[in-house]
This record gives sequence, structure tokens and C-alpha cells, in this order.
Amino acid sequence: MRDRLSIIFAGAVVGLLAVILVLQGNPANMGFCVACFIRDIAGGLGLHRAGVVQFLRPEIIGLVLGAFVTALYVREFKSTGGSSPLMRFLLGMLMMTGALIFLGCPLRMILRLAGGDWNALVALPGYVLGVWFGTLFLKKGFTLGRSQVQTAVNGYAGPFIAAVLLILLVTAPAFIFFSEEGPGSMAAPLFLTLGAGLLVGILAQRTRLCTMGAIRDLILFKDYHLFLGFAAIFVVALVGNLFTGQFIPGFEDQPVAHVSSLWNFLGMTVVGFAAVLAGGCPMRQLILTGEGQSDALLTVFGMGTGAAFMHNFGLAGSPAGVSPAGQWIAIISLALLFIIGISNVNLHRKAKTKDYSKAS
Amino acid sequence: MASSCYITFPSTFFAIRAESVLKGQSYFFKMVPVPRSISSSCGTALRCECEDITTLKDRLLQSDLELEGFYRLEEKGLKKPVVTELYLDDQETR
Repeated sequence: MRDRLSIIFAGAVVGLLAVILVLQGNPANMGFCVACFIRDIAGGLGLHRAGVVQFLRPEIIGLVLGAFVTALYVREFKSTGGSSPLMRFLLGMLMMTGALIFLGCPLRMILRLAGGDWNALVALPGYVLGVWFGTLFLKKGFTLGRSQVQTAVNGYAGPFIAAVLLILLVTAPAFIFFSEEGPGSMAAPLFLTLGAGLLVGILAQRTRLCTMGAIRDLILFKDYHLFLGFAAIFVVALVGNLFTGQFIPGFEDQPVAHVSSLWNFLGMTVVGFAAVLAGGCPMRQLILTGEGQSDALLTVFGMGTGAAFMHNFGLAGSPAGVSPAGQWIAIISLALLFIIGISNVNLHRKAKTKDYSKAS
Repeated sequence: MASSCYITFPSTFFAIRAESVLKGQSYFFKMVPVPRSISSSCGTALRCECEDITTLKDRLLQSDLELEGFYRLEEKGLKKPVVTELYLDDQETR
């Protein structure tokens, strides 16, 4: 009961903060969007030059630092890693690829839905399909291998990078890019965005809020514990939007969105599939980074690189739709996920029968 | 004070296999997310009656499953549950 109430509370806080952040200046239906904000950070660091999406988003910094401080406080901080690092980096890239075809991570999909953006209603079954694909591989024995305890510096790298980003944000040196127009120029005040990130980081660390786990557990075990958090985000954001006049139903003219249903659907299929194989949605990867998991940090690096790749080559979706090259990338991403899934099935069984330690 | 026991697994794959091994047998069990008070990881655990846990452990090990840990959790309403790690005999994964 206590766990259940905690996750509903965490989801409700995320939904409420998302509404407040939009009222205070964040782009519409983008109070929180982990993929969009990592993309903005990649732009702020100059990894891509899409001028309208460059900003060192404090929400991301707060999520990592909030989870880090909490994990330290409750003695759950542990430097671990070494579980298929390359695969995790690739899965991060693919997760971002899908998110930038749809224009949002699973969290923003929920928030877009709560804002009346029916394009997200098309994306939701795509996301569920992607998670379902992932569960098929879990049932077959998909694994990226066990992580190992690592030296402390590996675990502290993520929070350290977050702290450096915060210093760069506050000091704003000339080599950091800040959008002057477009979504990247729209942001609530720093104390709110950073505070919201910290608070959600703390709550998500305590409750393991995960938008992928919510669907995965429903499919695999008909367990709805994590789904309660997912539903709470939606309900509170919906009520908040209704009360503040931010609920504008329809397909057309939705903020930072396009109406290409097939690509909204497939974009989120890629995200859901990649998230299952990587063991967590984009937000959960940030929380795990804060807990000291260097594998999750690599997934986040993959997401940043994926964002740069998508924008530098003009592959990301935009309100005008998804370019033919972007459409190909969505299909290629899906194919790559199947290859990663198949090639990592039953790895542990092979490892069990073949003892490499005796060979050396 | 409600009390139940949990078996945790090194990966979701083994949790899924555990469910299929035990399906149709007379034990009461349910696959659930690992309780937050046991671990911060987001794996899946098997919840069962505490008197059955040793039998279930033996049954799962006979089917070549890898198990991670065994716990008793005593829920106290809205208060923090009390977690006790169990050390069962002949547990080859330890």
C-alpha cells in the first residue's frame, strides 16, 4: 500500500509540475520532456546546430542530481557498469531517433495526450507495440549481461557532468549556445526548472517511476504498480490543463508536433522497443545515472549523440512532418533493434556452458 | 501485520521462466515488481506464502533457474515495511 501510494504521488507531482512549468514559460505540452531536453543540451554544447533547440536544460541536471543526492542519503548509490556498454550506447541513440521522429519521449507523449494533442493518441499504441516487441525478446532470454561493481569514479561521472553543465548554464560562457527563438528559447525561471528536476529526481529515485516499466509489467505479468504512476501523470496533467485553459483538443496545429500518424506511431514503437532492451525509459536512465550506473550514463550519451545525428543530418521530425530520410531512419532503427534483440538472446546460457575464465 | 516472502532473480528472463515453471501448481504466488524496500533496481520478484518459499526455491533450482535472493517483508500499513533477508539452506546461488 505504501509503495502504491508513493508511486501515485510521484506521478501526480510530475503531472502537476509539468503544467506549472508550461505556465511559467516552458514550451507547450513540454513541461517535462527528457528526450527533447537532452537534445537541447546537445545543441547547447554545439553538438548540433539546429538554432531553435539549444539550451542547457536545468530539468535534466536536476533529475540526475536529485537522484544522486537521494541515493547517497539512503545508501543506494553504487558504482556499477560494464554490461554491454556499446549496446547501451546504441540503444540510447535509437531511443532518441524514435523520440525525434515523434517529437517527444514517452513522458512528453503522456503530457501531449493530457494537453489534447490527439497525435499522441496515435503514438501510444505504437509505444505499447514497441514495448511488446521488447517483451518478446525478454521471454526468449534477451539480456545485456550482468553489471559489475566499478571504481567510484565511474559512478560519480554522471553527477559530476550534471554539476559542470549547471556551472556552464549559470556562467553562460561564449562557447555555449542558447536559442534566441523557437522551443529552445522558451523556459520557466531557473529556480523552478532546476527545483522541479531535483524534486522529480528524488521522487523517481524513491519510487522507480518508469514509463516503459509501466507497460512492460502490464504485458508480462499483468502487474499495474508502475502503471499507477503513468496514469497519475496523465490524470493530474489533464486536470491541470483543463483548469488552466491549456487543454486544446485536436490533431492540427498542436505545439511542437506533426500530424504524420504513421511516423508518430512508428517513432514511439522504436522508443518503446529500445527502452525495454535498455532496461528503462529516458527518464529512468537519468535516475540510474544519478544512482551511479555508468551503463545508464552511456545510454544518456547515446541519446545526446543520437540527437546530434538526427539534427545534423536533417532527420528529426518537425511541425512540417518527417522527411523521407527521417522515415528511412525510423525503419532502419526498428530493424537494428530486432538485430540487437536477436543477437543478445540467451547470452547468459552460452556463458554458463562456456567458462571463459578457464581459457585464459 | 501482513507478511509475505519474495524470491528475486538476476534477470527478467528467469522471472518469466519461474512463472511458467510454477504455473498450474497448487502454490499461491504472484509475479510483482521487486518491492522498493528490498531493492532500488526495477526487476521482477516472485511473491509467495512464507511457508512455501523453501519448496518453491527447490522446485525452481531443479528447473535450472538462477535465483538471486530471498526476503520476508512485513507490511505495517503506511509505515516502512520491515525487510529480513532469508538464508535458505543449500542455496547454490550464494
